[in-house]
Amino acid sequence: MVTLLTTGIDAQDYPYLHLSIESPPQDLNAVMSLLKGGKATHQYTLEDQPLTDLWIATRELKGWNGSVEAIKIIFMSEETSALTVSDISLHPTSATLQLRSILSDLGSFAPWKRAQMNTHTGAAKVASFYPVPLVVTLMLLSFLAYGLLVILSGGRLVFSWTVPAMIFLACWLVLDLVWQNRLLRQLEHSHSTFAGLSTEEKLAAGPDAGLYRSIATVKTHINEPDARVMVATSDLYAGMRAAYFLYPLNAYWRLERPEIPDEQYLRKGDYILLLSPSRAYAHKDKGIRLPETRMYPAEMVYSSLTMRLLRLK
Amino acid sequence: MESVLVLLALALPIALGGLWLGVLVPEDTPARTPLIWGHGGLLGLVLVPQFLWLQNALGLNLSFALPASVATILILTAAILLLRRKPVSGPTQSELRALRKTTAAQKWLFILLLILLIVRLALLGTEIFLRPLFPWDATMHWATKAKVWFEYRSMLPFTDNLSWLQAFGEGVFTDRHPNYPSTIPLLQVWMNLATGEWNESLMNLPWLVCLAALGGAFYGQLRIAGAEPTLSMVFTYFLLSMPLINTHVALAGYADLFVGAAYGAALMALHNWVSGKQAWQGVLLILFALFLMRLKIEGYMWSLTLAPGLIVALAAKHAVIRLAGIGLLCVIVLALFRQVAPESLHPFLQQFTPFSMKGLMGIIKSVFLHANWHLFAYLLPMVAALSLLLPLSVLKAYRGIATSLIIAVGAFLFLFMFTVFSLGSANFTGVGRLSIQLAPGLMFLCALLSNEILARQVWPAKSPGHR
Repeated sequence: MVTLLTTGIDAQDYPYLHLSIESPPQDLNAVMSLLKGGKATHQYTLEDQPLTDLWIATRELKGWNGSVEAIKIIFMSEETSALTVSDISLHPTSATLQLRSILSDLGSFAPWKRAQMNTHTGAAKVASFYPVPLVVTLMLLSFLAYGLLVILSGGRLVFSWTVPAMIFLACWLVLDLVWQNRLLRQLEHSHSTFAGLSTEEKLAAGPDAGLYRSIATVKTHINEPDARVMVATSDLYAGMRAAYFLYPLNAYWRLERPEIPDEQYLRKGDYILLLSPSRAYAHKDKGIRLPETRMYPAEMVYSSLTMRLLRLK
Repeated sequence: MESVLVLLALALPIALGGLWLGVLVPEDTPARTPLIWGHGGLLGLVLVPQFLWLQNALGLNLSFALPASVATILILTAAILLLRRKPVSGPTQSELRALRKTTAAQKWLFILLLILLIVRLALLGTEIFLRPLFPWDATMHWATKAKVWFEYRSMLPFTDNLSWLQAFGEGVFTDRHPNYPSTIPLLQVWMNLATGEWNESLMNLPWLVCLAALGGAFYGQLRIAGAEPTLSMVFTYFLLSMPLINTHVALAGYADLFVGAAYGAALMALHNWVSGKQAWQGVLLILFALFLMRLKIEGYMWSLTLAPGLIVALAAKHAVIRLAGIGLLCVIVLALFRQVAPESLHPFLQQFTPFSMKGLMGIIKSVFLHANWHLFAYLLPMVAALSLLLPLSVLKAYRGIATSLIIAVGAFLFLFMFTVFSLGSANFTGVGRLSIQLAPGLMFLCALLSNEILARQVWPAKSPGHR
């Protein structure tokens, strides 16, 4: 954990935070929090990896106003080697720093997130600009410059649509190189995580590693190949993913409540997989119930910190 | 051995579609090679899962050998037909001749963009090869079916949650969208049947083939429409480099890329069939219009938008016929949706909402602010505005494809601004994915109009037809 004391400063005077770490391990994660009134008020996960030269636009951080007493950054890595933070500093407004912040963001990388199937913002959470409007501004200025050149040339330069077309292509390439760079770094990340692994090993090393390993254990406790397994949880993602890992067993998971189907649809031999967090309550001898239902008699087949498998009696 | 089988599973659909298109497409067609392998690859990828579907419908266990044998027989038949034909000139040679006519700078630009595209495809392919299945919907309602069907070697039925409960799960499975068409899961089953093992990485390679095939088809159709090789390559690069499309390849498992490719292919065939009346373009149009409905529910909608485009293009001088045709089409659309996909009609008819500002802002942010499409959202209105400077006689050539796309974009905007689905725009969960389905077609129209603008140097007017 690194703490930067900032007592006595007005946060708004310092729109840039620079963070530099020497040779950070690849799995390094950083969580930053602001201390105000003696309490940690806002937390941010710094998505950019590696954190060798990161310029953060602090104005994008919620709570970056008034007096911030300290900035705490907690670094997490499975590697046990020493970590050298070569710089952590706040900086006042400056055009150069604005540019460095933008460049830092354009060169940043964060591994795939589920939301990227829906939209790709192109910017980190702590960036001050979206790259597309930035490049569009550059493009429009270039069009304007070309137009002025044609007008001021007094007829020596003839307007051609090919020039704006080439400016457009160049701007597209700028954006695309940023994207290609991120793809390349994603590939490095994927290679270091998955290369040489079988499907099962990849799943056990992937973003849902913990859940996959738990479900793999649970499946060893289900002997019937056509068993009905109902997933009960209030965590939508974990429920959906657990059901997927359970297939080709006859898995049941419902996006909407109730977490456990109505009594009339349950029968002896059905399995209920209870994943935390859940509204359901399981008792090792009595069975399982929702707050509004009676206790359904069931035997506990498997139990761990995060999940319990019950078989209805 | 696994690699050989995976390559075979990918090569068979490509060869099947490519060689049969080779039989249909005349030898002197511009950019014939990318065209037939691009369109052919897309056709094959959608066709082979239908073989599996048929195998299941005949009561046989799903297997690799039988559909592969059928595909091989069809491939050999096409190959024999092609060998018996005397080539007019090598298809690659005709494209090389066209490239030779361009300036040195254009040639270098063409080569640079081609290299960038090859590098991108290699990057995306490696990412697919490395990663297990990742995205949300893929594990919620696409690969769920693939996993069960592969395990049981049979297309066991999937039902909604309640029906599953009522049946006590006897002989039925359930997931979030049990009624989605079977093509995408069957494509994953096909890949896994080839190796005989469930492999969450290799089963996604068809997404890479789909992107490459879309690029080939797009380039080829642009060349047929009269665009020069460099301009065609620039727009192919634009299409294949868009981040959200790339993401759907790297994190494969959704149907949207296939829907976008099929809709784009149908629109391209529509435009070039209207312009050139070549029978094979008509065949492509019909096939892709049908295949759209086998990919995703939205495919019905996109498929139907092709009809008004055709009516407007073909009955250009008969306003009454045009109006009657479109009116009749609306009735057919409603009747068809009510029968085939009532769940799709439901949001349109019963879940109207007042205008949603959040929905509109979501669209604006997704399209203009986020990096989903690079600069495409800015290119499209610029080109549309400049094309108004083109002579009406030139613009008339595009009324067919433009009509279809205007209706499709209208439906897209309506969905996200006037129905409960505006939430899918406000939180970005729907708007980007649906945009993928429209992007190839819109990019094609954009490329055609850009070609006209650049070829005619619309403003300031110099000399008509000056290049």
